[in-house]
Amino acid sequence: MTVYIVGLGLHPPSRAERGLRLEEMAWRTSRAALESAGVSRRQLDSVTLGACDEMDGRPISSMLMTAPAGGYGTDEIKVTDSGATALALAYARVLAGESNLGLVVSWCKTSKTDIGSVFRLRGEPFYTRPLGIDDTVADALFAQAVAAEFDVSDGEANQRVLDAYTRAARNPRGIGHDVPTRDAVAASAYEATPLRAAQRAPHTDGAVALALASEQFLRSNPGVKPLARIAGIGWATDEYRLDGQRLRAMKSARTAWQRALKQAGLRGAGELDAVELESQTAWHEAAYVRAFGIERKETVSPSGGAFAQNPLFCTGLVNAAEAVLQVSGRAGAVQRPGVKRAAAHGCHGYAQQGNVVMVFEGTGATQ
Amino acid sequence: MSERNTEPGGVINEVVTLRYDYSLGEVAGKFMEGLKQGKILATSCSKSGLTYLPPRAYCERSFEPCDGWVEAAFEGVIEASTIVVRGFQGKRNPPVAIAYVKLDGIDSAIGNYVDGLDLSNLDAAQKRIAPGKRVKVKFGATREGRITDFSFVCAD
Repeated sequence: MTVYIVGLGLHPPSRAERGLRLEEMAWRTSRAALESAGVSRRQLDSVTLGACDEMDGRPISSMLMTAPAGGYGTDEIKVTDSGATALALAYARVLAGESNLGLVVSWCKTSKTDIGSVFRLRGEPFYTRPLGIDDTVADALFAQAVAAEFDVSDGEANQRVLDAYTRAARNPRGIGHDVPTRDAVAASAYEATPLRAAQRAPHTDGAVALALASEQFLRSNPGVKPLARIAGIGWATDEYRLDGQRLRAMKSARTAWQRALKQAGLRGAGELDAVELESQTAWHEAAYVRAFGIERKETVSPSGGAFAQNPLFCTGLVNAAEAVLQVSGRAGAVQRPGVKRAAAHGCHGYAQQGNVVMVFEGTGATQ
Repeated sequence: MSERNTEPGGVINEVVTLRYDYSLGEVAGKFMEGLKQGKILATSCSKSGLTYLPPRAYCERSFEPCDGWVEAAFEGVIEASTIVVRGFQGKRNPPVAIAYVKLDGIDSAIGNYVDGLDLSNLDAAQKRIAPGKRVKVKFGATREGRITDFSFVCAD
C-alpha cells in the first residue's frame, strides 16, 4: 500500500495573525488543500487534526475546529503532540484501509498567549514547575548537552543562524525576517546559557493542511494527480527527564530518523536531496545534522525551516509541506535542483522529547 | 475584566483563572515531609535495583512498586545546567542558575537552583556549574515541604 500527498495548503505566515480567528485560518487552509488536490470536502472520509488546547485557549478545541477543517459529517481524530504526529496518524489511517482520502490539518497562533507559561503549565507540579522550568530552560540544557557531545561552538551556532535566515529570506512562504548581521547575533544577550536570544527561531502564527490519498482513491479518481508519495515515517518519544544522558543521546530523534529511512529503503542521509529540520535554535540544527549524519550542507532546510516561519505546534507539518513542494518541483525560489527524495522533521515537548521524521518521494506526475 | 475591541481584526483579551488541587500522593507527600526534616528521600526498587529521585511510586523499568526508601547523600554531580537570564517566571527573579544533579548513590537527576554563584560574569559562572562539577545540598533556614526548601552550592 502506498499513501500519496495529493494537495496542500499553507496559511500565509504572520508574526501575529490578528485579522483572522483560528476557525477562519483553518477553513482557508483546509479549503486551499482540497482545491490544490482537486477534490471536494464530501469526498473526505477522514480528518486528522493536530492542535494544542493550551495554545488555542480552549479545551477540546476540535469541538469548534473540526468543521472548518473539513470534518463536518466526517470521522475526525485529534492529536495533541504536534502537527507532524498528526500526519503520522493520518498516514496510518490510510495505510490501515480506514481512509482513502484524508485531510491532516494543524494550526498554531503562538501570538495568542505566553508560550513560556504554556510550557510551565505542562511541567510536573511538585518538582519542576516551582523552579520555573520552561521551553527556554529546556532548550538551553539541550544546547549545553549537545555542545559538549558534538563539540559545537557558539561561533558555529551563530553561523547557522545567519545561514538559516539567508535561506529563509528567499522563501516566498516565509515571514521575511531581516537577515541579522554576524556581530548582532554574536552580541545578542543570553536568555539562558549557552543559548542566546538571536540563536532562537522567532515564533510565528500559521496553519497547514495536507491531503492524503490511497492508491485505490487515485485509481478511482484519475484526475487527481499526486504531489508525492510517503516513503517512510518514523516517530519516537524520549524519557521525560532532563538529565545529561537523555539530552546528549537524542535517542528519540535518532530512532525516528532510522525508522523513517529504513521504511523508505534508504541507507542514509546521502540519499536525500533535501532535509527540512525543525530547529528551534541553531544548536538544534547543529545537533540534528550530526545525529542524522547529514553531511551535505546544501540539503539542510532549503526553506529556512523555523527561521522562515515557526508556528510552534505545527512547524514540523510545515516542514512536511515544504518537503512535498521540493519533491514536486514547486518550492519556488527555494527549490533545490533535481529533488527526488526529501525528508521532513518535527519535534515537540521539553527539549524535543518527541520526534517525527517523514520521507517523501516525487511521483513524476507533476515534474 | 476582559478588554474588548469588537471591530474586525480586533482581539478580546481574557485571563482565564483555574485553581487546581494536586494530590501529592503517598510518595511525593513523604518526600515533602522529608524535606521539612532536612532529608532528601528517594525510592528504590528491589527488582531492578534502581533508585529514583524525584521519587516515583513505581519502577519505570520493572513496573513493580518501588518497595524501599533511601536517604540521598548531600553531595552529587551536575548532569545539566544553565543560567537563566531573561524571560524567566520561576519562583525567583533572574538571573538564576539551575542544575540537574545526580546525588551520590541515586540513579536519576533532580533539578534545583544553584546558590552562591557570582553571576556577574555568566561565562565564568557557567563553567563553575558545568556538567561533571560536584555540588552540595544546602537547606534553607525555613523548610515548608517544597522542592525549593533546598538548593545546590558548588562543592569546591
